[in-house]
Order: sequence, then C-alpha cells, then structure tokens
Amino acid sequence: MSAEGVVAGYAVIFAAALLCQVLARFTGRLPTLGQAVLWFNSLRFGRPVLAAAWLWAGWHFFVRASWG
Amino acid sequence: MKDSRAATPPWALLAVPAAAAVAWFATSLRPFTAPALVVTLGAGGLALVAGSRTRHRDGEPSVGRWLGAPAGLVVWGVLAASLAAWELAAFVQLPRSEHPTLSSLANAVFAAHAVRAAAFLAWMAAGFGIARR
Repeated sequence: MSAEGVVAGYAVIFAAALLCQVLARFTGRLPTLGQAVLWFNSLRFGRPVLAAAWLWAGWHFFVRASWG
Repeated sequence: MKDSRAATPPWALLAVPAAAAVAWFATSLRPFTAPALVVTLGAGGLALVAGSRTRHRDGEPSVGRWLGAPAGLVVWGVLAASLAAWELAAFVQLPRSEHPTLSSLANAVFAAHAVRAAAFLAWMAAGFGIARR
C-alpha cells in the first residue's frame, strides 16, 4: 500500500470519530468521546492505564521526537 | 446545594496563560536532551497535581447515563481498536516513508513551533483531565 493509502486510512478513522462526536453532541444517542474517557477513567484500572499512556505520549512526542 | 463555582480554585484564572507559556518554553528545547525531559515531566507533574486538586463541576458532561448502557461506549472502543490496528500495521512495515505512523506524521506537523506548543498544551490539559476527581 502506498503512503497515501495509509494516510487515507487514518483520515477515515478520524473522520468517523468526528462524525460520532457530532452525533453524540446533537442526538445524545452515543456518549461523547469525553464521556467515554470518563467512563474508562472510572474503572479500577482505567486511571493508571490512561495516566501511563498519557505519560508515554508526552515523552514520545516532546522528548524523543524528531521534528522537521 | 453546594455552589459548583466554589470548586474553582483561585489560581485557575492564571493557569491557562501560565500553561501556555510553559508549553511554548518546553517545546523550544531540543529533543533528546535532559532539559527537555525535565521540563516535560515537570509540566506534566504540575498538570496532574492541579487536576487532582480540582473537582468536576455540576453540569459538566457526565458518564452516569452510559454506565448501564455500555453498548454506546463500544463505538469508541471499536474506533480506538481500529486506530491501534492501523498504526500497528504501518509500524511493522518499512520503509517509513511508504508506511507512515502517527508519530512520523506528527514529526512533520510539529516542525512548526506554534503547533508543537499547542499540542503540548493539549497534552497538559489531558493530564489535568485524567487526574480530576
């Protein structure tokens, strides 16, 4: 698959997420992304998992990055 | 009933511009250096501490009604799993230029300092949100 195809795949997933967020906001038939994260955060293991993922993201994108 | 505004700490008004300044400074440091590591961890730690001292306000989005109907939450799980699978499929293939990961795409976008600082600010806000009670 070409790079354009891979990027298109990401774009489709993010577009679907945006659509779900809009549907959640305006119809109330789905939880918003924020509500889904709150739910996960309320689980016994949720907060440590989210915190670890968050910490890794900060380290990966802002400390171990190769900008430009 | 307790006034929800009482939950807002007095430092909150200064927190956003201060965090923006920290984000700008942190993202001006060279990656792979000790200062970048120390400032990133320090800023993240401050966001967690600030979040842990802040309560959710009344009227903010709540997860309550979805606890008994987790089917709605499955949609977000499927999207997260799809993103993870697509990322993993790209990650295990080379060359990177033909199989870009989110990280490699972010490197190109983060070349602009303003974008980098905005992303750092969003990262701090996410940490604040995770730590909130």
